[in-house]
Amino acid sequence: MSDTLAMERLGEESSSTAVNDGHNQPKRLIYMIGTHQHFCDNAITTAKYNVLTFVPKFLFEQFHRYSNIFFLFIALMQQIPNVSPTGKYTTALPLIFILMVSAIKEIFEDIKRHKADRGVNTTLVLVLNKFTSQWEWKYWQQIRVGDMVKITNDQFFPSDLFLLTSSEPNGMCYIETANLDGETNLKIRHALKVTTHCLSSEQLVSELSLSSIQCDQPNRHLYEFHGNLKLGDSVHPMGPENVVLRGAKLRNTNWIFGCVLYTGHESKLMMNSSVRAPIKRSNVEKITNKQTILLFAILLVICVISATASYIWKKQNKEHWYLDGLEDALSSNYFFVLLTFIILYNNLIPISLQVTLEMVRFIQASFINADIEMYCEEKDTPAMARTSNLNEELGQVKYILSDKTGTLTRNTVVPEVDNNEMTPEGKPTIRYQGASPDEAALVRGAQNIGFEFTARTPECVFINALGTVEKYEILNVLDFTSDRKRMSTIVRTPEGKIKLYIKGADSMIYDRLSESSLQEFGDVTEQHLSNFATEGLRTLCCAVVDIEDNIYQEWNKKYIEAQTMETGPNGMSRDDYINEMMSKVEANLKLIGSTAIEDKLQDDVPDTIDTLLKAGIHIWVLTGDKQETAINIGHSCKLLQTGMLHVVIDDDSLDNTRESITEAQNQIRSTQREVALIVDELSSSFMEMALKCKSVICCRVSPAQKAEIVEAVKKTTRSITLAIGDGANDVAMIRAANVGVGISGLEGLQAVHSSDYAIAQFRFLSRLLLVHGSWSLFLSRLLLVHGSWSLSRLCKLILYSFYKNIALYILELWFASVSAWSGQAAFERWSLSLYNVIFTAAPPMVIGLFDRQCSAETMMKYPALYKTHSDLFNVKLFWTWILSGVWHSLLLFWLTYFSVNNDTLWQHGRADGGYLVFGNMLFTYTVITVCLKAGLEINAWTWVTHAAIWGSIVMWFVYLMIYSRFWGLFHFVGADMCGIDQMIFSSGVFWFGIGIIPLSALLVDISYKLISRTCFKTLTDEIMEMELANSPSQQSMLLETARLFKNVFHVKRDKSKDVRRRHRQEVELDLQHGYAFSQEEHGAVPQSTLIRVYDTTRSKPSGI
Amino acid sequence: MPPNGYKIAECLETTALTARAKGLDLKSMSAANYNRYAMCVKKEMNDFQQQQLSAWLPHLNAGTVFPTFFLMASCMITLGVCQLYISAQVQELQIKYTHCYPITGGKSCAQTLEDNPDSEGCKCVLPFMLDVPFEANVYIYYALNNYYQSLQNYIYSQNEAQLDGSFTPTYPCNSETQSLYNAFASKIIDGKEVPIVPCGAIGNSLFNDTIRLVRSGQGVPLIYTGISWPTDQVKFNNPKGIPLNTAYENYTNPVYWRKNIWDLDPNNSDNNGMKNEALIVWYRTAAFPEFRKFYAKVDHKIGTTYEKSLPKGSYFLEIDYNYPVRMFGGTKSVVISNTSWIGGKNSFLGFAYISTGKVGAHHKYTIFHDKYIHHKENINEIF
Repeated sequence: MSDTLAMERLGEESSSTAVNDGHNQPKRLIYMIGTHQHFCDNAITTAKYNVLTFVPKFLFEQFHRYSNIFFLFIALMQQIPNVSPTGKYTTALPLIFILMVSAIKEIFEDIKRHKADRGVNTTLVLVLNKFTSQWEWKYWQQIRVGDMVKITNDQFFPSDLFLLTSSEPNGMCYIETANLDGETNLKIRHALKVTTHCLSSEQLVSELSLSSIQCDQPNRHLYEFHGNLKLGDSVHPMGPENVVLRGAKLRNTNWIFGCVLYTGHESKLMMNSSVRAPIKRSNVEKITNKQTILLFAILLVICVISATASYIWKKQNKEHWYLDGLEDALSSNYFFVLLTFIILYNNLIPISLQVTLEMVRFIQASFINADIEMYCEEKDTPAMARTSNLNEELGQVKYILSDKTGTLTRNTVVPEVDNNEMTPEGKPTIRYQGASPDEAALVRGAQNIGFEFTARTPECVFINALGTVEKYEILNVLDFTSDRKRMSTIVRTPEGKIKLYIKGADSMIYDRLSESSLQEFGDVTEQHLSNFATEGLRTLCCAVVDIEDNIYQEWNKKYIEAQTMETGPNGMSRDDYINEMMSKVEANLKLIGSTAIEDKLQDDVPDTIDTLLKAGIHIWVLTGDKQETAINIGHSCKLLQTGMLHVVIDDDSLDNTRESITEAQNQIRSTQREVALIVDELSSSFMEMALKCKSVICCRVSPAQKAEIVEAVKKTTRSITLAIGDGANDVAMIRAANVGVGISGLEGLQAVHSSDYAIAQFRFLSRLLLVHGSWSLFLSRLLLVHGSWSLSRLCKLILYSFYKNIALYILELWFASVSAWSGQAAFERWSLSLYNVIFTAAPPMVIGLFDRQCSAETMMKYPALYKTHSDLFNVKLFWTWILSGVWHSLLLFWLTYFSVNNDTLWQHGRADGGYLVFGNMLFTYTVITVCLKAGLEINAWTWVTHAAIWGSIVMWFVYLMIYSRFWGLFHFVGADMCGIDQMIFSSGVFWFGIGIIPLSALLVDISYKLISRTCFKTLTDEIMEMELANSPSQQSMLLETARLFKNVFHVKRDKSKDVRRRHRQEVELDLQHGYAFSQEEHGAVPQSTLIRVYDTTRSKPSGI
Repeated sequence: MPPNGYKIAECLETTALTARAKGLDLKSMSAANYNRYAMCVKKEMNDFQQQQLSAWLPHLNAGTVFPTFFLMASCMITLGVCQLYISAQVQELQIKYTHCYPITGGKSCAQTLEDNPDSEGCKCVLPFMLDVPFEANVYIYYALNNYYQSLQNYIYSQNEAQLDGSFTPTYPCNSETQSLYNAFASKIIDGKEVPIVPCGAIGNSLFNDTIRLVRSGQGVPLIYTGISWPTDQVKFNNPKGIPLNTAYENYTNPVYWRKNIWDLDPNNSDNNGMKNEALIVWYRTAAFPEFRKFYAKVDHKIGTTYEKSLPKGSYFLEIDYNYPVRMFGGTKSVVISNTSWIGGKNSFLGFAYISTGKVGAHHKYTIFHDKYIHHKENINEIF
């Protein structure tokens, strides 16, 4: 455990750096009347490339792959005269072709991103024309620093704005920041007093034209802002409460006027997201890269062997007079010979692998896009793979880091109280909207039974109680804080009585109930509360107390006094003293009842989480929201379960946290149970502990911290992380994770634009992982491997690509051994370079696209299958395939060699078809073997598979027939191959060989497969067999195994029935009882003020 | 938009309308809503995109595969026996003559040739017996061992155009690469560079031993044409319309040649120059250092002794020994053989069939033997 603790939230941490920013850099000076062209414009781009950067960036990315560098090198070397045994362009042309395919794919994908960006950039907004004093529609991208804009209700802010005025009293406005910090409750921002009176465009121009703003340089701190408004001679300080940020949305406010401060990539939101989308490469690709190096090493070894052998042969065989004069100084140079062999064997590294991979991924991505099971009808949105490079990562995810709001839960919108509105019919309707939904529901419920909340003024509220209008005077509002966990209002009833109404967390209210009330309702209500709590609802208790007039007066005097005091008596701080004062009056309560609200989960979230947990995936919830809410959601989505040990770390200070972490670690060590960790505010050193836990919830984390957590998980566990979220606050996390998934379907969602995959709702996640992930990374049985049966489509594809090249090119090594190590290829050069492009291009494609071991339904049914993917691409497997290739080449070569040994292959007596008859026979057998090997490894033969495998073989025959006739058609083209087809096809030896040589090469593979499938069945095999079997007896076996699974994966949970459980239950119960306050704590405007600023009897300005 | 989104929306709309027309409650259909939707979409989207293609799932395990395996094994053994039988019908006789001595006695021909490369007329006579008649058609081959025709530089050391009867590319021999493959492109005669025809190492090393079969003092009639591939013959052409010796008067022979290109076959004027079939055969470079090349066919002309076969009896092999191989450890031999429909004598594939078949059949025992030992333990491990 590290000793250093970094506990600050981003906002607080910024204070020091922000000051530094201020000192080191000149402040940004904005003249309200001017436009500032020299600042960055408001267009944003999330695309990878533009027209200029495409070529260098693309090439850089392509030549990140060692194989491409290698082939470039080979292509260059082939230009040296005499060195290449296979001509000048046999590598360059395929390489160019492959790069072109990749380039087209990249362009295609990037155009989609450009389109999305254009959509955002061309959103319309009203901008003030300072010469005509008219509002004009402009695109977002045209906005400049210093522009004045008008935003209407439910619009997103196009950039960071300084709030000038609004339709609400005191220039207040409500904003929804769910995209920024994930909190669902509305926040209040207000304008400076000096600007609130400018309610029309003319006023703005006339009164503010000489003013200027001095503020910080653009920075990434969301909660930090310093600035001054200079209006004439007076200077007014500005704070974060006067600024609204890009990514937030205006709510419950008709309009606001704002002055643009930071635009485009300088806005705080964009500064928080990494500037450019990083180019992600998958793990499999990285491993492939490594294995390519390994293959390169093998290649070098073979080349050195060959070159050395060549050297020795030349030394020992000087007497071959017919070869005199065929050597010169250069060609007898060792390194020159080495280079010749490198070129000869270069395709040991499969040139087509990258392009096959890309095409396969691209089509896989289109499968994801088209999958009807992932199409969200509600939102009319299909799942979308925005990059296709990461498909196989989906099959290996170990950690899911999820956002809460909008991802696990629905994006609940919580508006404030609104004023009366007249519908066109003239019938008054009232829209009630509470800070929390239960309040609104209560008010609406009361209205239904005849008690209507009709109007409010700063001092009073009016209630129409069964026809009579009653006026309640608001005397005091005792604010909510998270310490108090309650809030109360003191009112004077129409009868003149003084009453205190209180709502708060059950623990708080119960402590303050009067004896009689406790006896009367306590038990019943408590029963309800615990029922609510187990369902994962957030509860509130409401209570009332009558206060005698004189007692109230006396208290009120002290209370007002306390608010003005510098410090409290007896060394108490002022806040503590006020709290004490509040507590005094909130006593002897009479319980009215309790309410419960549900943070509505997205469809099927608990099931999905359950499935994912069973699949061995750890789920972490990272949220900017409060601890209570987070825990609550944890319960309702079954992430936190009753049997689990909950460790909560929520201390304020560094020392306390360190202590509780140590304590918690001991706890974790000593427990057998599954552990859920709940962290309030982030410590970088909690990782070690967190990784031991089944589930982790982090509360109040900033966007940047989310990304930090992702990075930390990635670094410490070296496993694949997946981040899922919907808001702009998740962008950094989504970009940092190996796989980023965005929730789509709502407008203006930044997360989707930075994600790798976009899905409509959370419940589709499990299909995306289990089906597409698995089908990308498909389980397989592999011959020659002991024990390990799982292999993915792509891994199989990659390994198969390695295999097929090894199988062909090691033939050249054997041939070199019988042809004096001269570097002569046994095959015709273009046949050789088309091997990867035509004759064996299709089998890897069908492996990558159509192979599957179990159906989608089975994959969904047995999530445990997912676990077997983790050790797919191991060294053993790699070598098994390589050796398989070597073995096949060995058999193919020598069997063919001995078959044609006497050179007389025809009845007509002609002997010695030359090296090309042998070479083409061998090539035929090799193509057949390699295609059949693919067939052997494929578990599901669709018609495409049949077409690919038999088609490839047929293709070779067709090619052979066509190419052998070239010489007659085009002079001197294909002279070597002239008539080869007739020679081969007329030979009985060839047809006898075709029946046995490929088969004997594959015999070991078949035998191994048989033995292991019969005697060493794996989980996958069992399930596969079950799927195959339709008989009722087989089905009962299926059920049995299902039960077996359940027992296995629940065994840990059973262990949790230990003695300590009862003791802990109380603690847990307390944690489960979340309470439902949605008020902003220490907000820009305190609730007590807020309640008093409204006067619904007056109409609002229209802001023209 | 989903793929074909408009059509889907349309389809949904129609379904909803139909439902309403029939008085069905859409709400009550909502449970089946998903299916209804999927139905609509599936009309537009195919199984290919949905990865729902019906597939054959070959699950290779002992139970499913044994019958096939057994059948295949027996087929293979049958085929193997057939192949062996066919191969056994082929008659073949190989006579090595690398170290043969001339009738005149003295040094071996190989030695004579090594001592004086220009020496001519070393003649070997090797007696041999045929115990049974060799059925027609009988072919004569020469076989070389430890002779590398498959060297890269050797193979490329030729000029296609020149072989096709063109004069123009005289030097360098192979245009593909400038410096290599150009051995034997020209000779210096009287201080003048004279181009060689046919240029290059292949042409230079043309096999030039003469082989004759003698039975009862009479030469066995041999045919020297029809020994090369027709597809190769089209690639070899003499300059048109000019007698060969005139055509190539500005050229010279390859260094090791003892005959002029225009009298390679003194008995058949058509079998000369580039059209000489022995030359064409030689240019089809062998893959391995041990190879046979067609030398001649026995003439089974009707009405002769040789009509049906090469009769049994004693024969002499007369060799004009010109081709040196001993110095690099090579060997030369003459092969007299007839063929079956699968070519010459080679029983390798037959044995391959039989042994593969045996291995296949053997599996049945092995797998069942192991099955009950490992199966149960392993299942326990998995869970």
